[in-house]
Amino acid sequence: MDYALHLIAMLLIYSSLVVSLDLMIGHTGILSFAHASFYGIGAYVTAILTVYAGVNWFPAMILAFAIGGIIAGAIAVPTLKLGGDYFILALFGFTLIVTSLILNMEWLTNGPFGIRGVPRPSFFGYQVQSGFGMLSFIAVVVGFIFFVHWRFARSPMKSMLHAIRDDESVALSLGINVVRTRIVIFAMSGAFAALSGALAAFYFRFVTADSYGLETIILLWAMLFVGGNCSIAGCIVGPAVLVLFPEIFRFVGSKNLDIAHIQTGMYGLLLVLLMLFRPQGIAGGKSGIRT
Amino acid sequence: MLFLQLLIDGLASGALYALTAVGFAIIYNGTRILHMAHAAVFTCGGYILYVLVKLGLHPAIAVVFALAGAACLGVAIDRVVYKPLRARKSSEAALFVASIGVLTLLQSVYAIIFTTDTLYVRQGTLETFDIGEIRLTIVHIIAAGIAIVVFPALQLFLTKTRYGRAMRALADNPNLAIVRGVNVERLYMLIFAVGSLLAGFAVVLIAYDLGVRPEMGFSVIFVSLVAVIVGGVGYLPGAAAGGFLLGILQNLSLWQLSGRWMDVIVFGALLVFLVFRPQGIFGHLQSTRRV
Repeated sequence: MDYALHLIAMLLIYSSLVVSLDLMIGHTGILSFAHASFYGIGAYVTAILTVYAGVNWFPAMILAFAIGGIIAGAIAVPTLKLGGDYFILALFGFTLIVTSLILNMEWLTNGPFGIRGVPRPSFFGYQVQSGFGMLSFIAVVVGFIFFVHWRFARSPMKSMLHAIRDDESVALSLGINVVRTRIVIFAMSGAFAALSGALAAFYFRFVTADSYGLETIILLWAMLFVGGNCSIAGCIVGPAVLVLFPEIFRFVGSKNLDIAHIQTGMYGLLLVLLMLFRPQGIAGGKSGIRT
Repeated sequence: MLFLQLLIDGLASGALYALTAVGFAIIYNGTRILHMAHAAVFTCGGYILYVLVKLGLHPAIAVVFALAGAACLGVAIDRVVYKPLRARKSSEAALFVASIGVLTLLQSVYAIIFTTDTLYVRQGTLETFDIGEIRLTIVHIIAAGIAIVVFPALQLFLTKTRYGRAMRALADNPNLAIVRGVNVERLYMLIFAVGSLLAGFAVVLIAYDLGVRPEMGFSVIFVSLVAVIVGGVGYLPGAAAGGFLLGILQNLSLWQLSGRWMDVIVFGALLVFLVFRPQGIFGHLQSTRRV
């Protein structure tokens, strides 16, 4: 039972991350490689504030959200004017720099050992202890992220973003401020990724640089493209497939150490097969990015 | 003296970066694919060398097989994955995602077969030659030799032969090249073969010097990518110069900083160049079509 709760919690956290990634990739067409970094920044800000500075969980979470948004906005300003592949590389560089800084700034992040003992959130003196209580807390926050996304998908802003994504010149000629809109979306997406990071910090009670690097970003991309971009259903289907899929190996009973590699290899194979045979993903519609 | 030693070390590793950077640039200029799986092609050469040397083959013959194996894998990836995607007129985003998928898949395959440990090709220490206080290793000398032989040969191939000229034509203006009767699909095979071969030259030396790991290709390819941008996209000597520059920069940074800041230095250089001089040191804005 505890294990089922854990799987659902993982599924929720990943779905919320994929939702904010979808905002960037699916709706705006920005192939962002930096999402795991914003997730990591959120988790580290939360851990540092609650463990070292003794800040209460709620202000810590809000601050993580704000700092994630500010850093994302700041990195977007110089890089977004670069075209396609340059931009991908710039964000890649950003990801590696963030990982490297987390590992090397020991006075702040405790280096490769990570930060332990993030306190569970508490309400009116009552601290959430049980797995079920924690799951409800995550569900509320993730529900909020999904609500914002759902409202967004029905707003005129969405049409504006799709216009920019599909034909920048047309969008410009219609008087849309392309650069500013992209920066705003980048900051929003970064802020929500940081919020997911705060959730992860509260849930695992432990942050370490390994969890927010390249493997995570590849997993998130796989989730987004498996589910299908530009689709709320896709943001749940993709994580569900990739969180539950490795469980098959558990029931097959293989206790080999290679399982982690087999899993990662499967993600890779899945990405290739999807691009070849169903580029819009399992639940993706026609409104996604051109593949 | 330390400075001079680090400069020479930098030149040697710069020569290897230059080889992979030019290989990557040939593929990127000709096909416009951000071929991340190049890292897996690179690593493949290292493992072929390791297996054949362990089987007792003469190292020189093993090197030939490693080069051929890398070239075959590069061409195979193009045939199996990129060609069907091209046939369907997939977007660059889809090609990039597929490329990441291939990279992830192959790296996991290496990890499953060979484990994640570093495997050493040579026994004992490197042969060294002392000149005054400067210590040269056999790897320094061979790297210099390869760079002196391969780059002029490549230049001759690209300017004097029919296929080399066709490759440059395709990189310069694909539509015009097709109109003039260039067989694009056949040329793509050649492009991937040549690009992968150059990575092979670099990997046999790195494998001999430092051993083989599943993810060894990753960091080398990323430094090469940065080198391509720093040198100027679309200009092969620029990519080579960028490789040398980054190799020297990395090693000289050891003079003042510890090795763990290397990533930050390389990607810091990338961000600086992207923001202030996206066309690279030698690039012209016209040749960087996607900036």
